[in-house]
Amino acid sequence: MTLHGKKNGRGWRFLEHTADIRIEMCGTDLKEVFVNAAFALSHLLGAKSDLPTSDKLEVDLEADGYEDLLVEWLRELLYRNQTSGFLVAEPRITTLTPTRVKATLRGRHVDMEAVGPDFEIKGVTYHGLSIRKDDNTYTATVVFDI
Amino acid sequence: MTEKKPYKLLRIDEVRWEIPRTGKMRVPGLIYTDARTLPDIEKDQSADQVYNVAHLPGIVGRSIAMPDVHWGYGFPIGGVAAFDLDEGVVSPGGVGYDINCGVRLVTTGFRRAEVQPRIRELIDALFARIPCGVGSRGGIRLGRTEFDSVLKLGAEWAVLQGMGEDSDLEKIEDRGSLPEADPSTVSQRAYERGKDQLGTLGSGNHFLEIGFIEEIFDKTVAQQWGLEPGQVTVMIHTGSRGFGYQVCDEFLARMVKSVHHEGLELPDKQLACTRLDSALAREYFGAMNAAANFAFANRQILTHLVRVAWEEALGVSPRQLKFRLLYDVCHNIAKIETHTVHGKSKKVCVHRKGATRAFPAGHPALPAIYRSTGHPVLIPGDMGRASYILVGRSGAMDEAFGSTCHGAGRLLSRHEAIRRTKGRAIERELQDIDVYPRWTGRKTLREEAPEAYKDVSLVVDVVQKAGLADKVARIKPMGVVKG
Repeated sequence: MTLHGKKNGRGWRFLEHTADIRIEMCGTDLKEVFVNAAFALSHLLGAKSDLPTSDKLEVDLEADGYEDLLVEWLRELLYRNQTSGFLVAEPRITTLTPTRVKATLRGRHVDMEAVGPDFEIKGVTYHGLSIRKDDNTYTATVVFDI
Repeated sequence: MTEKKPYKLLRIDEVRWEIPRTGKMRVPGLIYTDARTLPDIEKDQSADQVYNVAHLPGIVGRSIAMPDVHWGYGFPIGGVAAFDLDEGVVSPGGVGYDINCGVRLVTTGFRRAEVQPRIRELIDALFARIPCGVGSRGGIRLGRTEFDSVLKLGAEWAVLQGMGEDSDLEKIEDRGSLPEADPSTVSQRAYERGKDQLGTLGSGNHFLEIGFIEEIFDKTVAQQWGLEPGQVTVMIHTGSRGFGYQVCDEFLARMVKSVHHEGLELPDKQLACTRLDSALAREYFGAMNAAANFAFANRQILTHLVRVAWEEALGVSPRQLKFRLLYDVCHNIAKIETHTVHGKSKKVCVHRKGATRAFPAGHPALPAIYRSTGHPVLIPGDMGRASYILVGRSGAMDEAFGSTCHGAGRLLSRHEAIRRTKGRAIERELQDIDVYPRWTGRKTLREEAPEAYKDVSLVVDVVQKAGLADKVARIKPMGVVKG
């Protein structure tokens, strides 16, 4: 299955939610789901497609199970953005187990006031959080509080 | 096809619908609504969330939703739930990410006719002075030691810096300073996320609004509170900014883990919680109250910035401006309060997530100035129609743990609001009804268009009929600053 957001070919899309933002992302494996989740968050934070990759960050996170790990992953990316303006352009996941994700993030530290994203994302919630597998596709759903 | 629900929603009277106990629910659900507001509630999953909250350990009374309820994450937005201190839990999701998001209202010595011709220059001056927008910074920057003083003192910290008067403090819920705040429970990450955001408005539904009192409903109370028809007011809606978000986030993550050790069964992971007698609960209370104090200080600082901008823009003195704080309420908070449960007075932990405290006349927690009336309850509406000043009634204590609604309640998702307003100039539409807006985000005005919200007048009609609160005055907006 390929998900189609506003533009074709993205591995994630918006779903309806009255007050918040609900995102569905997919992948042929879980690494791809996590990568698409990072792209979705970068998009929400206002990153353009030509975002430079001159800055690099390493992250190494732990949680109990892939679902919690996905929240932890997005939470970390959000925190990095909120405190130093880091936007991810190329997430490269080197390790992904049910309890750990290790990755090299390439992107750029930017002035977020100049970027002017459409939403202030307050947090990554556990509400309606799911990762499921149908045939050969993994699909995850996450709600961001805005 | 309509999905079959595991519960029933039964009409009790004109303004009350009940979800009777079924399955593993520990208490019934109660939704304050009427024939006009119920259809909107039925469109989303907010009733499901009222049902889910009714499963939490130690919940007492009912899982309650106000007429402005809408689909949140975990707890519904517009929900009230109280927990027994021995058996019950505290849940960061039941408070929300924006800890002590709240509203304050200031009255002025100006009349509508004096301000209307100059509303543009006034709003432009406020827009220039108040840091607003997504991730807005540039407020007051503090080192950790001084930041911790803010977390301990709340609004008093701002007053000590010369931003306001001592007398302001008695007109803030809990005097704008929650003594349980414990800065030692606050992580460096929370500090990093909040350190540049004190004195900023933020974005989304946060706003600063100049309005005037369009109608008085209760002349006696209005007179005691110094409210008059045509009087110009300032309303500020914001909270604890990135600092509160990070506090919520971190404790949620810890409680998602701790629920397993505590053997708590939850219908939704976002309801993650911990027993009120646990060390983790004590830590959360310390940090949550610190974030609440941050929010109290934030609104006090913003009030000062508005005062200065107004004096400069219109060239008036403080004596002419007569800025007077009416009240400041939180609508995202958990508090230990005394309520009557099954006929007995006991301390419980009341979660108000998108709900406002509404203590009526005679309540012992009220400051002397509001002891004989009850405190003002501030209900912001959308930026085109109206906002309300209410006063709590005894029904709020009898049924809703001293609570009432908190606003209009969102009706359309942000995407739906943008779709429906495509091609329209919301700015022009607002100006056509004498509301001058300034905003930062590209889509803010369309997302926040009046039609994205329920009609706040319908919401307050329900709480009045239910005996939770009475209307005192209605405010009509004249100009608004949105982030």
